Amino acid sequence: MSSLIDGLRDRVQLRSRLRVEPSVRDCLQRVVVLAAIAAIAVQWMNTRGGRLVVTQNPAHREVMNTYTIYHIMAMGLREGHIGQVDVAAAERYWALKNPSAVYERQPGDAQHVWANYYTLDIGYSFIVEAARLFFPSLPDNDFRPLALQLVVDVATIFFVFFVFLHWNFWLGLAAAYLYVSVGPFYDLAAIAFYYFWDIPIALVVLGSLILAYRRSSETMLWLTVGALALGVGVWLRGSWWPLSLFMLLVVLTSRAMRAKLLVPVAAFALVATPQVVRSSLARGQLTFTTRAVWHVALVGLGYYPNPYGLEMNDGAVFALTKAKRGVQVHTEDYYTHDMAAKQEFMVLWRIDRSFIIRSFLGRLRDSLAGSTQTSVESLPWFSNIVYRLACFAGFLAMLFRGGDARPVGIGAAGMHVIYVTLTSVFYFVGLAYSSVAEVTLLVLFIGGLDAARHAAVRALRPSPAA
Amino acid sequence: MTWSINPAVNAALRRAAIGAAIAAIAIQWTDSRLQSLSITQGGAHPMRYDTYPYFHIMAMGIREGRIGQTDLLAVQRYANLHDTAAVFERSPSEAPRMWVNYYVLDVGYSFVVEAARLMFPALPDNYLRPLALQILVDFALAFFVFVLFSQWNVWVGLLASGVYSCNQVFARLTALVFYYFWDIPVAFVVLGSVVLAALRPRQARAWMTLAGLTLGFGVWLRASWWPLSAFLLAVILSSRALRRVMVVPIVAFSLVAVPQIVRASIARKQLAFTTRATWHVALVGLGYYPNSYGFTISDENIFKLTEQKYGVKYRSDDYERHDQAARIEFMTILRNDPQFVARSMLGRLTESLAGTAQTIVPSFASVSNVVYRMLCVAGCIAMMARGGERRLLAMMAAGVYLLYVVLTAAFFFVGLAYSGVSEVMLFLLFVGGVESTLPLVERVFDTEREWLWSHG
Repeated sequence: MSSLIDGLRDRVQLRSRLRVEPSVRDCLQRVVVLAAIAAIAVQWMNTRGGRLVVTQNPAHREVMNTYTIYHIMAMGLREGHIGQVDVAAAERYWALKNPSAVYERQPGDAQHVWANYYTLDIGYSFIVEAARLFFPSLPDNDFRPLALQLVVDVATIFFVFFVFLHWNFWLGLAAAYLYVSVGPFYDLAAIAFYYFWDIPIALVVLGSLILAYRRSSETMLWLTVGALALGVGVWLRGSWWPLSLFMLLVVLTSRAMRAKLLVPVAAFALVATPQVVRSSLARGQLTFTTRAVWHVALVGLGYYPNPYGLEMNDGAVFALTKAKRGVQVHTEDYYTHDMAAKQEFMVLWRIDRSFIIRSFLGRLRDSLAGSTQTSVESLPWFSNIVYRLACFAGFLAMLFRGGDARPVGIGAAGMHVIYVTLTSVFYFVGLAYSSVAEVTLLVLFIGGLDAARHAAVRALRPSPAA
Repeated sequence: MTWSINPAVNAALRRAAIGAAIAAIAIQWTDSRLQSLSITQGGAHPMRYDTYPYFHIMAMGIREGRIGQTDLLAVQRYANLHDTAAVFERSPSEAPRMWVNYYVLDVGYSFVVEAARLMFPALPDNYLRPLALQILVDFALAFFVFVLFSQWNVWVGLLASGVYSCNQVFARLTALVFYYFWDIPVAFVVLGSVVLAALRPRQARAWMTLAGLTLGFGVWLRASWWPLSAFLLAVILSSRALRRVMVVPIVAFSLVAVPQIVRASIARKQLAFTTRATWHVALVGLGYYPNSYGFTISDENIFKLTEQKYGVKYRSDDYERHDQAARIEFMTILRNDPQFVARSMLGRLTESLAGTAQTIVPSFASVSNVVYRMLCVAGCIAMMARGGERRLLAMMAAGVYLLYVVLTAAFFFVGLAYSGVSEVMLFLLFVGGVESTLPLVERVFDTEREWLWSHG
């Protein structure tokens, strides 16, 4: 090994003696950069275009059923109906049985049944409304949020490049190329739903941490950006609460950052508190989200064959609570159903604890390995298990590298473990919920590449004697 | 009272303004392009060209060494599917084939289609691949115009990018899969490269070579680029600084363009720059206005005419005989009724210049085409007055515009399909005009400020 490194070092020394004209080097560098940009653009078009052709095929467009709720919620915002859905309008839309139908504003005499929506977190309705305002030329349906997703997806490429160029310029380009190649990213970018939005949020959170370290004069600014992203995150999905807490702890470990946390924490609180207030008012106690949890836990138990008739679909669990406990499901709020599901889960926990533990451990293992029923390949060049092993090696390399790589590595790895474990407790990390996990893996992988580059540069650096 | 802004705050504000402008441009670009795509590619009747399969099959033949040739039987088999979204399957080896040289249109677009086929293997092998490439190039052009105009002023660069994203002609042509779109990048790269060569003397040769190569590609795409190339060469040669670096660019242009002359000359057995049908188009153009000869703006009408009157059988790979018959017919009408021909040409020229011809769309939603063109004339005058590279750009853009519109209107008219070149020239004159008037605006503001200070 040492002879190999010595040989490489000799070559590097030889190359350093071969002088290249600066203008020629500049020109070559520019050509390589242009080629890299072209490769990224072509790869983006291939991956996103390939998926869009499938998901947006006019014959069978893929639109989430719940999307309708968010679109109608977004339409209600201008009338002051924040977080409320017109259930009657949703029923009318579903009755059309046309996922491409345009959402028409209802005539004045139409029946309206506005209800607070508590089944899922409501943050996505703000994104839908933003998309409706940004893209007035497009049909007023899921095309608009899809367009916004694509714009944000492109912007994220630039952001990824910008963040990682702070480690190394070529690494920035490699990171951008990796970003456009990650399977779950392009799969989720091609369907309009809140699943996608975890990707930019997670990248902004971790990217802001890197920038806060690397751009010391702008530390507070970047921490605030990260905190605002987390604030948006908790409106989008309750899962961002524990992740926010963990990221706060990571930042608190740095003395330099600790001194600049007041503004970011205030910013986070300003954005996130109304969500706590809303949930707490709805449930009559301190609550961070109204989202159904136990329903999902029962669906998750249907992941493996079982003697309890549990299946991995919502309908089976609705039928179960209705048949056993006489619960009617309300589209806008699963609370009663969720409590019945909780009772059912607890009954199962008492009578067959080992099944629940086996199910959880199995889902956790599949989620960590990226081999769940709906998982797709993270990168086309490796299997998911090899990629995850490489990311783990990247994490270790980041720890050894030190500097800002260490807290970033801890932040990314911690987020990954917390997110995957928490999700697996109730469900599993399939394609729909893979965004946060994939972002953390990407950061660890790139961190590993950077650490390897750094080690190679140090090993090949000409010795002072030479 | 004087305002002093902290430089750090100033820089942050500037950065925020630039970020907001970029976001607005991105949103506008997405909005306009997706709208065009939903008009042209969505719905029950997507807009696709009958001639496109010829180019796609020509592209598929390139790997077998068949350059500029198309398999007529494969085209027929594809047409029989009656599905313009069907994937082009490679014909089985035992399937009958009929490879013929394609002379109806210039064959350069087949290279674009083949490039798209290679670049986007994840997409179905049909019109979607060239469409993806068009969208990508269109996006790149939004950057290119920014780079071009930010040489003078970064805000004008952003304005250029924004105006480009708002332009409905560019948006519509991006969403139509055919060679029409490719006039836009060719025109931008050629004129932009000349300006960059003038602004960056150290890189002048490289930029001029890029312009030469692009023009070379242009003549493979559409023969209209031949006279435009000659005109641009004449303008460039008028600049002493650029004249010195012209050898390599001319060689580069010749290397790319000469094979097209060789191909056309061999096919026509005399010096020819293109094999493209001309007189057929001229007769179609005469159908633009109601007339007593029964002409309408449709190809089929002319095919029927030459078959009935001159016994010419229609061939989809080469219109030469039909084109000669159309020429005789045109000349007959010119002799018998020169007033009608002249009136038709002048009418089409007027409408083409004013941007009111049939099929044309407004360049911008908020301004009529006539007003936009008047603004471009004003822009041209302002650029000429500023001098330097701006004058060079104004001369090139205005000259190319006039030459292109006059030549096109002589035979046809500048509708949406052929508006790529003219729209680029108008764009350059408009944005260049805005940039050229900036010092004047600043001077007015300075005078105003001085007056306010002097009066307390």
